[in-house]
Amino acid sequence: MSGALVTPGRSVRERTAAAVADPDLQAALRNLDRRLRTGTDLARGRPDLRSSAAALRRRTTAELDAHLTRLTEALEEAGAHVHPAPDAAAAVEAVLAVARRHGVRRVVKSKSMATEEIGLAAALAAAGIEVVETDLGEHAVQVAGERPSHLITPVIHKTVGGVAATFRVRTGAEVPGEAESLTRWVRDRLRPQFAAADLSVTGANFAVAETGTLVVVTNEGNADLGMALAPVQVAVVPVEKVVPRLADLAVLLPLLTRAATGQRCTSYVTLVTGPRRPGDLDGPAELHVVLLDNGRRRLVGTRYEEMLACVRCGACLNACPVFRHVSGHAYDATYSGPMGAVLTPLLSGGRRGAELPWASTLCGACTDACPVAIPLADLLVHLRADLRGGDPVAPRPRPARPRSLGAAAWARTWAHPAWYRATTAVAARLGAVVRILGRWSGRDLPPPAAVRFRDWWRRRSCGGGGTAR
Amino acid sequence: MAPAFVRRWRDGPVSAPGRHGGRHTESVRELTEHLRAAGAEVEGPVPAPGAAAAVVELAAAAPHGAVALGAGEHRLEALGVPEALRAAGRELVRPEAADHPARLAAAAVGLTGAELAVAETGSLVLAAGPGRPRLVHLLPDRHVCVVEVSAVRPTLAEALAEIDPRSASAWQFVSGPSRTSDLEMRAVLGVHGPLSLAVLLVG
Repeated sequence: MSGALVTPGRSVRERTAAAVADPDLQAALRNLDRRLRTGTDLARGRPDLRSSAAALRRRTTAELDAHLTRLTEALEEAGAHVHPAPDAAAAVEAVLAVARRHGVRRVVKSKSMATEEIGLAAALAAAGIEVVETDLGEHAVQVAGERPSHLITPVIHKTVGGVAATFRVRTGAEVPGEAESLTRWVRDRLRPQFAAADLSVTGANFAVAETGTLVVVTNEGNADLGMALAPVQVAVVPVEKVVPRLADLAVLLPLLTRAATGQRCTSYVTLVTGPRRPGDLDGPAELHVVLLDNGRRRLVGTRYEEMLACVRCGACLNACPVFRHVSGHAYDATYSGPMGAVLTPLLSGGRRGAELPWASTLCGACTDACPVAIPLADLLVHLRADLRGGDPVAPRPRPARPRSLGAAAWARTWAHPAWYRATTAVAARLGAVVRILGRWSGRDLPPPAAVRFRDWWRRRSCGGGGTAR
Repeated sequence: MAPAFVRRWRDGPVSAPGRHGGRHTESVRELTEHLRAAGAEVEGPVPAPGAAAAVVELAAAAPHGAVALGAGEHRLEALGVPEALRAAGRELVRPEAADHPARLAAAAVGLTGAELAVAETGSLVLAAGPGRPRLVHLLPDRHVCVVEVSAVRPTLAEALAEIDPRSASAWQFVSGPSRTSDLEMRAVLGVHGPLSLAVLLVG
């Protein structure tokens, strides 16, 4: 998918139908139940965390450029090399340049959605560099030649048995089919790769502007091993990861881990400030930070600015009734689920994923689950309208065409209570006609109730306790 | 509730860690509970003179291979831990072995001392630096960490307030053994880092 956010393919309708009809996928997706409520539990259990994080993220994105300037200064002060990358191609080229300069032949990667977004692994491979994904799920995805299907749990589209079968087919090895022993098998397979790596590639979950610190969050410890062993590290950091102060992590870290996996804290959270220092016994001699824009900074000041508050926890995916039935591949995008349906068209200026905002029931479960209170369902509705004109954030004049005459007349009619009363009374008697109209227009137009609420209410309050029937 | 000046007179100065009385005991209990919930073993608090013997015992759970000394080595020496391990017949690997990761990977135990610990998140805070390689607790199969009770902070905010991340190239917050839930969203311990984590509280 070199550099592309989305690979071309069948329509979202066809992909979802195929996903729903796939019994193996449906069996695997039942596991999403384990994290169904991480986001809503957080919102209910720690509303204080949610509200302070939501406010903090919005304050930060409103002044994104100022924080990025401060971050760049602090990173350089700490001895890191900063590469601002306006788009995916520039980011890939920055990494390739570092790899070329060091004669890199082997790269260990820890899972990072930003590197997926820019198609980094494919670009490195095309340059003749061996890339090994080290996150267990991401490794399984890489060996299968697939792409991740979930922000946090990339191989959620397979059962343990399915993962083991893939490894068996692709490696020809005897692979155990049970989770514990399969995990040990992957551990033994990847240990030598860490030791042999010339370069480690990571993302960062946050970047602290005040101190130039990258925050790397994992459970497996794979990022830490890669960073400690490889002589050079490149971190690909999307610009919205910036947080102003170290103290902000006291809110954002527990928020991220609770929403992502329901943990108080993941097993490893590492604060990286600069490369190895004199006297240090391990860690990279050189640290490069690629600051990735790729369509993010232009969202500041638009109605979609709030999307930059996203911390990539995956809570909206777990809560989404659509995602839970079709999984990430049906979206055919780097980012899937509700956040992906918003972000994909935004980052690509409407060129990709324009149909994704329609792949939603607008039930609002994503909005409820979001730990930073992004109104995802509202943004999906806005996008449905704004994508009709191409780029949803391009400044454009108000549509010249007025609303259709029918809609205008309808609006004027129902603005008056008397007209509303009269027309709904007629509609209640013409239920059959409305049903036929619905079928004719291809929409699920619900038939009007046989008894209007206002009639039922009047009968109830005057007639003393009549029922709805 | 008594006024602040009465409480200070009764409970001692609030700013001195380890002298909070009730609140601090509660933090140690919470740290223990959260680490155990994450799959770690927690022993103690034991008084300082008993610490060395307790470490030897925790290391004995991984008897085949050396014990690698890492972060906070100076603290371990003050507690007499290296001598006790040697007396128990354990081979020791010095921190400088991080230059030869294979030696660390062959060790059975990585032994560290925490700079701080966070009750709220159940985290041990380790700083990389001279004598404190990052790898010492990542490569061996078992991580044993010594935490002084006075280093326990109730909240992440309080711990972060005491840290300047610029003072080390890496500050690691360790909150359990290496784990994954990539397979069917079920937890499995021991992926790339240690299979087990044992924590000894001292003080």
